[in-house]
Amino acid sequence: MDGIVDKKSSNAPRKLVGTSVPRTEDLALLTGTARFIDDLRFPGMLYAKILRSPRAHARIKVDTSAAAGMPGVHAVMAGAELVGKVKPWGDLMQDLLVGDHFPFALDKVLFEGQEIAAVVADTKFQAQDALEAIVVEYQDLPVMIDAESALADDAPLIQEGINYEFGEGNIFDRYRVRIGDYDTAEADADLVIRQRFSSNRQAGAALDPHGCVASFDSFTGGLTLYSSTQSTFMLRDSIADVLQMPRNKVRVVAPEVGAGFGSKVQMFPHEVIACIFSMRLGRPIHLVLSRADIFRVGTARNSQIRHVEMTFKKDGRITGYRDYVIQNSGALSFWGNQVVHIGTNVGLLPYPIPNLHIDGEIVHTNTAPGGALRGFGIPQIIWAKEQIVDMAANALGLDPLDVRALNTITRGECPLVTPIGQRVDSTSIDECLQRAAAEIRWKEIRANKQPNEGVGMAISMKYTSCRHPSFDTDLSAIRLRLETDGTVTIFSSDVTHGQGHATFLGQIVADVLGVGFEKITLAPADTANAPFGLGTYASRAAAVLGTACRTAAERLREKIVAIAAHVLEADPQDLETGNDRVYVRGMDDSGLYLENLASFSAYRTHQLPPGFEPTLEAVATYDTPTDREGPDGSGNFSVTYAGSAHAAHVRVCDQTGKIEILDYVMVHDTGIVINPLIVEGQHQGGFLMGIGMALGEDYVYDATGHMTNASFADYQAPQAADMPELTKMFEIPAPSLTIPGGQKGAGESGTGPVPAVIGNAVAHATGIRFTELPITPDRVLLALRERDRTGKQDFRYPDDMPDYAGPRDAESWPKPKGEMELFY
Amino acid sequence: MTPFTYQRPATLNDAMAALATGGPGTKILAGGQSLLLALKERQSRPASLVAIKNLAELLGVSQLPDGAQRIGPATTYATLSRLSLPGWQAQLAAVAGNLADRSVRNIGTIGGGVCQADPRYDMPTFLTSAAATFTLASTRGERVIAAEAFFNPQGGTTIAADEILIAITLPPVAQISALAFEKFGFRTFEAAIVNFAGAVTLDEAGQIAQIRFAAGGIAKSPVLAPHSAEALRGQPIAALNIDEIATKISHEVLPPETALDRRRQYQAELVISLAKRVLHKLSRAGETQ
Amino acid sequence: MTKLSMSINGKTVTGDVDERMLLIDFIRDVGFLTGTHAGCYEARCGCCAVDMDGATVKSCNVLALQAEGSNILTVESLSQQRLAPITHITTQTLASVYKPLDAMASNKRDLHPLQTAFHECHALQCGFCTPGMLMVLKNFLEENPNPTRMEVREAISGNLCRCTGYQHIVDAAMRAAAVMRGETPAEREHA
Repeated sequence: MDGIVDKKSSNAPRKLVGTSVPRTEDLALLTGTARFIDDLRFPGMLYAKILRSPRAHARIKVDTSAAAGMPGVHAVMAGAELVGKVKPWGDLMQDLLVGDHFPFALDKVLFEGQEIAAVVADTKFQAQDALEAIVVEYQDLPVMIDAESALADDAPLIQEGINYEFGEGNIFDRYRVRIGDYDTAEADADLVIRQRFSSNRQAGAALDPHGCVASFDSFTGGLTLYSSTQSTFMLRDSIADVLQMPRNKVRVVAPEVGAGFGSKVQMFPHEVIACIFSMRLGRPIHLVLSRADIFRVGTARNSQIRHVEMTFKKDGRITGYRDYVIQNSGALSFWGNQVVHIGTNVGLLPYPIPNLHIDGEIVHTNTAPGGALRGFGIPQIIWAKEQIVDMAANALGLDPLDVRALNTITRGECPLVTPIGQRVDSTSIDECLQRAAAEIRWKEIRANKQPNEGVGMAISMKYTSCRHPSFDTDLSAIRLRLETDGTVTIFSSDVTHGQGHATFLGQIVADVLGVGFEKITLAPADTANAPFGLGTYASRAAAVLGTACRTAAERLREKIVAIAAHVLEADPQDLETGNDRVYVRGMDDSGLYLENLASFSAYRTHQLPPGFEPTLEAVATYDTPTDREGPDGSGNFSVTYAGSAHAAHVRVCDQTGKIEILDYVMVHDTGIVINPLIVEGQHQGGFLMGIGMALGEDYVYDATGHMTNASFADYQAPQAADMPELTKMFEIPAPSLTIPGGQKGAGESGTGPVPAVIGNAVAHATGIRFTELPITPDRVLLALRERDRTGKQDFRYPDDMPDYAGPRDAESWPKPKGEMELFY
Repeated sequence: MTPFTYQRPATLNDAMAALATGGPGTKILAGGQSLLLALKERQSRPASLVAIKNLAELLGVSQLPDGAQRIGPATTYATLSRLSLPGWQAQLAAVAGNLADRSVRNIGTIGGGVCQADPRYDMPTFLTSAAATFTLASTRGERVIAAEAFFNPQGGTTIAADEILIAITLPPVAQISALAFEKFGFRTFEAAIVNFAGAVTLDEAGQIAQIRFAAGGIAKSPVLAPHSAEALRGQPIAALNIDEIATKISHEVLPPETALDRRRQYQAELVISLAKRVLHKLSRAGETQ
Repeated sequence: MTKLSMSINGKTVTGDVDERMLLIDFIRDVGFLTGTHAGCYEARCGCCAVDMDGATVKSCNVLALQAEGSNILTVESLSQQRLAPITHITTQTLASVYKPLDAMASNKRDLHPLQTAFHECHALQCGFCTPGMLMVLKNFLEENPNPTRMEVREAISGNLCRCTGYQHIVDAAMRAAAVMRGETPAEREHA
């Protein structure tokens, strides 16, 4: 927009990194001219719809014959005809590609919503009419909704005929951490707290539906896939692999993408289906999912049961952590198992616990596929660990704030290596903790306890980009081009979908090159012209993509200065860039305009001295230096770590069970922040996801495996009137020592601590310790009534409810199945 | 949606004629806020829609000589929410302005809502507690029925396939001393888990001559609590043992032996909580007598 | 199929449509205005909100036929520039001589105060819910020029956002309300 950066003085170029530059992206989004996936229209475009299973677990026989002849129908497809023609895909399990994903169910459906068949027609109505003509016979099989039932010895196998590297039965991956000597820590402990915690499924529920338009050009033999995705290259390589096409013939373009939160960071069957239809018909195929289908198949947060034991000394020091995690990853999963590995490792921070004994089983059930979701396993472990810290503090007669302060790593100790192997370069988490306590008025409120009111806190740390245990890379890339008129185009390997890449990358480029911010454009995400990189997820953009951008800008600046030095007959060391010019230091009004320099390097190349390469482009990558997970679970998975300390003051209504948040504090360490307003927005959005997880969002299944709340009418996505005012947000930066610009990821920091904060606050308010999520008003009210009826102190919900069927104490906890061999 | 024809009758008589000739596959379309959801899900597959939202005979609220209010069913919730009605009748505007959300209220109609009769809606409970009457018309004639007869305990309403709702009538303002409505849902704007309303008529001494309670969300149609109501006759409104009465009402409409799962137990608790709030509001009405 | 006309952003739009066509699809596929978004088709998320005869409705839950003859305003009506944003290239040497945007008749880029406030307050991230938020807030502020923050929250509780957590949206609405009342809003505290 004209004139937005209007405070720039004409002499000293103002540095933009660190300032809240309003976003470049906004104008197109505000005026409705930005094009999201459903806004794309192509000549000859046809509409595809998918027939999805209404049953959760059944053998099927499919007859599509009646659909082909329906009005407007161009093609019909089901699984049988693709066997042996299309390659199965799946999770990357420590180097072994598991082929448990396929465009359609074959002889068995594994979850409600799984693809059974598809049609293409002239209109969406015709496609839907044709779907109804497809006849499917179902032979129901026993349905397993929770992970424990899928672990039973007699549980039927969900994924038949698939050999998982570390799995057996419905367990498709295992997790194991052995650090130090937990048994001795337990023997030497002054206090051991043992508690089982469970957490909920949660949807990303990005408002822009999952969908794609596939267009195969039979003249060039090229397939173009437009998709609402978080990673164009991951999608391109997956599609090319599945269809066995050369990757230079597959092009993935991301239109404007309306958020993802992790739910759009993999390839989906509907993308494969649309591509195959387009290749058969030679016409663009539109396939956008309905909201109900997105709930059922659009990947959800994995729910977990954690059987946690923590050992303490009487001064509150944590000496050991033992855990048996059972994770429900739905019927199939692309990212699910990583959640346990990465979430547990990073979720142990900020406590450098020396003795760890953790087992995990990642289990298939007949429910929605699990995947990546904001927080990626950290909220689930924090939910358990930070509540146990409070329980221990209460048992030891200590202030939970002091117990945390005693145990957390501190700024002064960094850089440090924790017992599990995390290399934490810098942190201010100890200071964030104290600030959060002060701002919520921790001591004052606790000293004046009011009925049904309480305060709670939690601290957590977060990876900044996280190394997928199966990849040996974590790279992103930027190419910069100084156009022949002095404007700049940024080509990025990753997909911006709300995080403001065009803006913050522009800030970096503007500062390094001295080019005006309004002259910088981010090219749409397109694998045809972008450099290769992994995509946008795991809070990696600012640090990883930002570093690649800074490096590319510095390389480009070197070229610019070299040419200017030649033209101006000056020493490169004496030259500065700024205000769209290159000039001799101290002579601000002289020099070369970048637009002239750029034109020179393209149209007057014969005047360049020998050795000078024409045109001005630079490419750079950045790959974070991180480890693969060791056989004992050790490893450093992140290049740098952000920090979050949250606290809440809540009031519980004993008439309805509703939890009112009277005050909420967030203190974060996001390192050097490139754009404070954007980062603030990230924290607020992360908080929304955390509050939803804490207070209401859940996947509610009936006994047949039908999701009863697959609709925004019933799914408890928070509305504006139910959110607290966020007036207390603070940053205490501990600049990263590993990322050159000092920045850390922000995207998921607002989510991690939230459920534990609420759990701790409710426990303080009512004496009721919630061990399951979400903490909904009905649970709260019934717990209050039961607590009053029994008079029980330290009441736990649901453990102490009379109808609770699960294990009430550690003696009746299940044990991990089988002993896992070391696998290296 | 499955295909349908779309009819735009110019008058109410034309609409009734369309229903009479169309048979059970013909449905009335007012604001469509409930009906269109069912059509998009393909749960409802009418062959024809009869659009009535602009029929003058069905719009607006007019006060009758005896102080009753005749409500045109095609009146939007938004319009109702802006009305200034006397005494307890003002609760109509309050309830209308606090359901669904702004955009749905701008086109959704009270007639559409009561004919959909979703157990979690607010208007059926409000109208039942107020002892509103419903006028139904067809080519065969008109009939007026009480709320309890309009809302079907098996779900939905008792409207015949060829009938159209042409008026909802609130009793005269003098007939009820005070009416209070409360509801609770997890989020600010979503259908209530339980709603509850009470309407009381006091004598000159501030004693209860008659009281009606209606609870919504717990069964397929609003549930009255006649025994609890009857037991309150003659008692002074300002000196009730509210906690005890609320518990009694809950036991009557949702007997504890039927509250076997968490959802039902919670609803039973909510009835107590909401009944207490309603009774507190009604008891303060006695002060203004 | 039925022939149908309505006014969208002041222009008459006519189409021959399937009776089942929803207003949102008429706006998008017949009116070619894709700023109104479909997030759920269940009248919940509010991304489809448009102004119909002076009041907002969720266009995914209204039949096109119900809007026959109506005046519809979409997000594209909020600012005079309806075309894709054209960035003026600031050629250093000739910036003051040529005015290409004048030739394209699109130099008027006065945004509605709500759009400006959203931009200044970072009230949009992915932008998908933004058109619906703008239309609901515009209607709300015209009827309630001096709301409290809680009243703003209630006004947008029929619109879901998953990115912003609503905080900046409420900030922007309050800022826009001040501007619409003729006041000068306070400077934001951030750098």
